[in-house]
Amino acid sequence: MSASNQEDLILDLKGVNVEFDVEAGKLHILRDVSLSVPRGSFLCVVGESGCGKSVTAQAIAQLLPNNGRITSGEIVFNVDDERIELQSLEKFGAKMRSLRGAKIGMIFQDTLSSLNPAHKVGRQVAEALLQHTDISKEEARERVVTLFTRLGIPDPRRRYDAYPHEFSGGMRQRVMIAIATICEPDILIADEPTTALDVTIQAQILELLKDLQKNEGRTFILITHNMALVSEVADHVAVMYLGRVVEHGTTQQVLFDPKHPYTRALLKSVPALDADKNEELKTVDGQTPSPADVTRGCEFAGRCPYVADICRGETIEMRTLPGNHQVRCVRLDAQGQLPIFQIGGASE
Amino acid sequence: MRRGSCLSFRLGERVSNQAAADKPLYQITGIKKLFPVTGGVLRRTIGHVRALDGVDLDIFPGETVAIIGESGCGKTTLGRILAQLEKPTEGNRNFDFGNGLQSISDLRGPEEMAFRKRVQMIFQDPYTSFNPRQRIGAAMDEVLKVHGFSDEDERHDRISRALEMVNMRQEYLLRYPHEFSGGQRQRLSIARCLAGKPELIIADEIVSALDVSIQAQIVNLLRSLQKDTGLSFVFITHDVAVARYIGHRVVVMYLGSVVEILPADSLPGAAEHPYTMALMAAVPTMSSEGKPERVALQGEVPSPINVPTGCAFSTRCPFVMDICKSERPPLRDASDNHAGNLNGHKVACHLSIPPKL
Repeated sequence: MSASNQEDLILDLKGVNVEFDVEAGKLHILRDVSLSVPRGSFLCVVGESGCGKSVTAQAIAQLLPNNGRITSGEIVFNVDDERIELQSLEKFGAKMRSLRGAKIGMIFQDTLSSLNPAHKVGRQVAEALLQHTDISKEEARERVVTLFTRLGIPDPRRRYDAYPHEFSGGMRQRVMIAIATICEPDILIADEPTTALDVTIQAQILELLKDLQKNEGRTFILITHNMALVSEVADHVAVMYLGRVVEHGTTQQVLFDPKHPYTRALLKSVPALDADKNEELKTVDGQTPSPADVTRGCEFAGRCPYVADICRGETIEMRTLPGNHQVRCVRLDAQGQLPIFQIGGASE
Repeated sequence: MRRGSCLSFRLGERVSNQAAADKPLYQITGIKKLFPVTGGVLRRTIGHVRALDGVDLDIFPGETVAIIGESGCGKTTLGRILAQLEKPTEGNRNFDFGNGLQSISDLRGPEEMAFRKRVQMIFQDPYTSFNPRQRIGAAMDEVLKVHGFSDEDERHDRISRALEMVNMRQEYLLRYPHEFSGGQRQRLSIARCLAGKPELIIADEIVSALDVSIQAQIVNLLRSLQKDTGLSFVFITHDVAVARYIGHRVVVMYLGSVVEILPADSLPGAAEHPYTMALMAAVPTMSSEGKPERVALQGEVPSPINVPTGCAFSTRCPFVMDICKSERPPLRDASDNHAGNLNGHKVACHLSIPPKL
């Protein structure tokens, strides 16, 4: 996010707020989310369940459920020398439909429910191509077979005519990646693409995504809760908690020099493969509150060991530390250090 | 490798002492489980899923055995057989009720209840393991009643002590399951188990559905419970790092077979089976200097309906030899497990010298 990168942001979210209508009223799900994504980079959005990471992806793709809507903010998508404000487009209007799938690709977690069980997989991949380009069915078929080969699907010609249930989980995820990439989109949003997969298969899929970024210059936004996975693929990391981005910076900054108390706690609660077994795992006390319960001050205040009166007052602003490392915490000093004395005494 | 073998040496002393002093609490040998596959109009059996293909395992008192493996490897079936929720097709199960190992294959009536009281299971999904229409207190009380605690005061006493152990408040007993979060419910499941004072708890993926910060709370809780009460755990998980952290021994399964048993501290370095090595290499790790070149396993796990003859891993193994395709390797002592260093490390592989990935 240096000055030179800022000129070429493929995607720029500025102060996006999303609300959901529920029986009890309104839930403020995304709170002032700002993210800038340089072209060709790999951004990971991490956080625990309910933090709004999937809603962020849905907001970008204009696929929010019917009871959710963007109430303010801008989602700027820069493609082909055009500046498009996605939030102003009609959800299923011609413009958005021409972008979704063609310029913005999406990969979802649950492959079994994302593929139509009654259609041959090859046709489902080719569909995107036929929708967005003027090529014949035969050409489309050839393109799909070529892509299957590149994605490591064995026997691609025969597999084109197979049905989803004939594929294993890892192969179905490859088909999903094929659907998302067949139109060569500029940006790919992957929402927990490997969560349902075994680790050896997860490793294969990650190699594949990383290869698409490095060798074809695609931009990726990967949504995950797995911090270790992030450290292997990401260039930039955004950490979310209860609808807000609490820390945003390079992978080096966020994972190896974390500043926000939540990021620090989160990183320490995951056992590493070489963890010292005599040490207890660090935990974050309490539970994530409901978005309805926190309306003022810092969302993490109720669980934070460094909490002070100031944390419960006004909304906490994002601060920029040296190296454009952004942190939303008032308890940090100018060097990004937390106070040494803490009340309630957990961790560090 | 070096670091791993020196770790396992230190641990080896402890394990061998323990093995000499303690007899297993639970021993299973040659466990096989076949599930029939039916087909056609008459639903005739057309084949079998080999969920477990000859598993031997000893569980010692006060020990945590972590079972890892990928989906479909049979780890859940093994857990259910250990808890007597499923009968094996073949094999022996022996449990020590206090006077030596005794077969539990044909337990009936009070004897079976005595076993079930000692061996309890906690399930993955904390949302479906409580009756939504029953208060937590009633759900816990019912379990104790079934296990023959007829004195109401004693039941109440046991329940409150169990709640204390998992750091939950007494007033929660009057609440309904939907009033709790996933992590809290998992604590309550653990408390329900503890109230009957079991000797062995089988925990099947109990932290998989929880957020990492909550997962850490539960893992710490189990470890401190074991320190205080000396109970044994069989901890089934697909998370290698959690298994290594919580387990004393780690059992690695692949396609219904145990491919390696090793002291948890010696992971990842001491792994000798090519599958364990590949599994360790595939686990994402936090490292600032980037990941060393990863040997991605090619292909996928074969279907358990058509288990390859010979070694189950032979279809994906980078070191496969002719013998692997025809002869199934037995579980034998690993190269770092010998007279001077009995660490219990066993591996099922035809390669006598561990390969380098």
